[in-house]
Amino acid sequence: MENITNPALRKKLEKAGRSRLVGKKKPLTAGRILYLFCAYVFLAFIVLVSAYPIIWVIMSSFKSNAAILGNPFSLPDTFNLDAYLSVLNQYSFGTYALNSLITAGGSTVVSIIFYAMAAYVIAKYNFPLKNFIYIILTLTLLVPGHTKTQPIFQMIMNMGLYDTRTGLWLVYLSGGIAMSLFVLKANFASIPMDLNEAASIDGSGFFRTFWQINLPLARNGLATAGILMFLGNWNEYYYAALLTSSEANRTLPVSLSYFNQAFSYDYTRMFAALTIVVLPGIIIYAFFQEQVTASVASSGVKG
Amino acid sequence: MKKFLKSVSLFLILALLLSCVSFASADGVIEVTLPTYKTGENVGAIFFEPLVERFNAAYEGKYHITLEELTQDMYSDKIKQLGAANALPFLVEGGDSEWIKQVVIPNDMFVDLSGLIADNNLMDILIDSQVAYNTTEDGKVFSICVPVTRPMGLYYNGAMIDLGDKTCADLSWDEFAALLGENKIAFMTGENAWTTQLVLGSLIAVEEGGAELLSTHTIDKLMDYNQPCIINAVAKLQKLMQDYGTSNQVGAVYADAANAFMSKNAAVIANGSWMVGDFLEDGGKWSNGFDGATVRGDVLPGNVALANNDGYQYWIPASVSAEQQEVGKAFILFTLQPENLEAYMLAEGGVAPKLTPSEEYVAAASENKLLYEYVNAVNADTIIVPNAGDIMTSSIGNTEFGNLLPLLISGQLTPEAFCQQLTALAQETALD
Amino acid sequence: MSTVSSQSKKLRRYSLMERRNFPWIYAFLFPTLLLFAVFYVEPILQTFLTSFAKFNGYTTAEWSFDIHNLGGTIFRNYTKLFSMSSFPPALRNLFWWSLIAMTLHVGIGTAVGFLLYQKLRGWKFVRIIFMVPNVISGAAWAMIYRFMFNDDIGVINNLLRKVNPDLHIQWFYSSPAAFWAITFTWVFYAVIVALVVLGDLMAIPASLHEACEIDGANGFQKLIHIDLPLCRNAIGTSILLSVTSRIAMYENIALTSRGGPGNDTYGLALILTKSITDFNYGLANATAMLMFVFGIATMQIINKVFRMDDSVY
Repeated sequence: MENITNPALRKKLEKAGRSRLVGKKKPLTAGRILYLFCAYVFLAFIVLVSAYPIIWVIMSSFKSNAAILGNPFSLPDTFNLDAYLSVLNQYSFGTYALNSLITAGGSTVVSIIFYAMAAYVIAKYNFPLKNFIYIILTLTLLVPGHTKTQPIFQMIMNMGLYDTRTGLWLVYLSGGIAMSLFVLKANFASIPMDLNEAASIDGSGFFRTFWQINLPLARNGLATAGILMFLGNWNEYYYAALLTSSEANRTLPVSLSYFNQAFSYDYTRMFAALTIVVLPGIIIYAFFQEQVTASVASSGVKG
Repeated sequence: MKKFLKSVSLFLILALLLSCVSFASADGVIEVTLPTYKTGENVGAIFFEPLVERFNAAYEGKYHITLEELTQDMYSDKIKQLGAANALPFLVEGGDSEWIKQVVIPNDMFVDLSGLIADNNLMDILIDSQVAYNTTEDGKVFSICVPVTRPMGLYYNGAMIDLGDKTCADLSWDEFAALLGENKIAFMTGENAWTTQLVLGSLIAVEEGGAELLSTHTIDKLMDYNQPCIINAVAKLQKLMQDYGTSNQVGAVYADAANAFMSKNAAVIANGSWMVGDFLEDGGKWSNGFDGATVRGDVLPGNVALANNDGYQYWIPASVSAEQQEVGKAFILFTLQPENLEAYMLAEGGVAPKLTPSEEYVAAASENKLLYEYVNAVNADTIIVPNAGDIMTSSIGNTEFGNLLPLLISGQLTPEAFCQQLTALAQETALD
Repeated sequence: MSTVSSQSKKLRRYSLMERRNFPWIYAFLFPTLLLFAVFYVEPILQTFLTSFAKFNGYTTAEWSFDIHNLGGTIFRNYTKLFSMSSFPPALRNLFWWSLIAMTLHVGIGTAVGFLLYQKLRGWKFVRIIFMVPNVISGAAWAMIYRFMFNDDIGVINNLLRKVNPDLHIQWFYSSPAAFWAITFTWVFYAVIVALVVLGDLMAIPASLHEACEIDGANGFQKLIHIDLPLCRNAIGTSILLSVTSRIAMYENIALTSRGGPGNDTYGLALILTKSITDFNYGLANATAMLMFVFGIATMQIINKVFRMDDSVY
């Protein structure tokens, strides 16, 4: 601030700086305390409804059937893994998890490259129909997945891919077009165009400029879009239930619909099975928490 | 970035490799997968799983059947889906009867089994009316039913209810209910509301014209429920469910109803003879001091037993390979072998009219007192009619009936309104 | 000739450099456009066409047309859809659920977004936890809720029974409780709204707030005059996203109440899937078209009301 010579401007800026300071440390008036109290009660409620159902399921999976029926709020007395062992024994959760991983992960890895290519040219270049293409691609966000049920079922069937992981993988490829484009376009746009120009002076071709210069710089965006797409496909239930039938191709969410009959005499095992299905998603989220949060925020803002 | 590429190609290769499930096996064994609900905790598993094991043992080195679990609730939908995908398994057990009548049979999607019947003299064991029902207009046989009739009644817990020297054959539903006291009946409204359907069936059967109505609508399903015999029966059902339903009856699936009975929360459950297996020993389903030995079997009050011989059972889709058809035929013949029919009757009850029972069977059957009692509760005067579910179109029977029951119980629907809704729904789902 | 010249005029908007890249650009767009064509354009077109046909999925679709009987021929599936007894409840539910989504759901999310923006102690923790229901499968979540509302083992009724010991609400199976039970499975989980709003709030230049404080505005005035108007886009987007998810809502119903009791909690997606199991694909696709039209209409309305195309600054 030393080099500002205009006294009026200087005064205004000082005032602004001070008021900013004041704004940060708000005095604890009665109104403020009431406000904080209400805010925390509200936030506590939000945390409760978000976390308690899952905590309840996990806790119940360690309780006996009688304890679940007797008092749903009680904490488990012992740390009993029997239910998990018996459930893991009865069902090939390994297969289901692997299927989910192959279909969700495989489709994410491939389509993220496709979408990165599209987002890259949309962000960096001018060409006819650019806006039109971007808009129709992002409009896919509004197409309810169920509306395409019959044509997609028919298509997968005609390709002879019914009840195969390849079929499901193919359907998942088209999953997150709109969201990925929002995220990746913003990401590529933030990479200075000078880099491309410099590269082209160095004789780097179009593809190399993309692959070796831009893509590595966009890895945050790739991770962000990729994780959200992966989670979406990992949790997908409707098409997985529609397009597969044999146990060898069952995914984790689909396995849920089999528990009702299998465990109805035994809530403990039912809750253990539920825990096994939901936990991987939560663990993945725990690792990539920042990216998931970032991707949700950016996908919405640009919508 | 190279790593990136590598992982992409790795994923691609993995996905492709893993999706090519090969059925061919090196040593000439034909391996097939049979999606069925008769596995795991399902009551049908008690007989069916060992049967398949025996089949695999008998045909070792030739055929091998692997069971794949479906839930009973989703079975017929899944079969329809597989049918649309041209991916039916080598053997199907029944399915949505409308779909069979309107899609499978007209489009010749099945293997004609008349040759199998002729070549193996199966008419010596099959029930004539069942074969007649399964014979199409052009003389093909669609499916083969296991020739065992099993009139369905109910079970009650003898430790909780005392009928004195009477049986349900002597009592009306009102009289039976009066003996219940505080005890409950295991009704359900989830899935197809099976145990509730059976009670409704028995209530319709004793109404004037009810027995005839049930008997005449198994092929062409009932489209008009606004009939006095049904309205009256529904009114009685409403009263029974309100006064004697368990606290969890609303939304209860079959397992909940069975659970209520096997934990003494209910003293009565209407169900077929196949349930006796659950009462012979504690397979982890008993709780709250329940003892299977105290269970008694009987007909339904009003002296009604429910049985429907008009149905579809084992059929072989035309879309499967000749090899798989061979396994399907072998399996059907296997289930019809006298020892397997007897094993079936021992496990799930019933009578095979044309089978001369072996001495071993008679001895073993008399040992299972509950089954003996259940089967012999039927007397000369028993009204034997199809079940209420047998006259409903599949979407009514599978979901709509159960979905409407909570409103009947709560009184939001009167019996008349309930029947009107069923009628509207039946006409809606009728195909054009 | 004239088309060529008009085309070259169009192309003149692009520099030679840019035009040299065109082949590459379209090659880069190709995979995405192919996926778009195969998984969006073709299915939507097919859905549209067969929604006017008699079509059971086994035999080929048949179109018929009779100018005097449009409802029985070309619009047969739409006539059938509109006359189904589950259709009025499905529309009614969609209306109320959309309204709840727009107000309560978006309201909760916006409030959380504003509170997160204030960076109260523990805000990061709230943000992390609030996201959890969104990262697990909707099918599992619906199932968990079915147990939560179970009369015997469920937390809700057991908690309510501490107040009223005789209480036995059959949440998913009685009317109108089922509507609310299904509402509870999604209404609180507005993390997307919260994050989208938070994103917009963070983008508000600090200078604006400073200027505002110099003018002596208090927190509430700041909220009304600056923050809320500047989040217009975020709130509009949130409403759009939450209403379109109501149109498509399936697992929350199918895995809990199955549309019951009666057809009280039916939704369009449920009619669609039921038509498919009844092998009435024409009807299913007519339902799909209706869902699609509702989605587009929602977007148009939100765009108008929230003036989404205009810049907020």
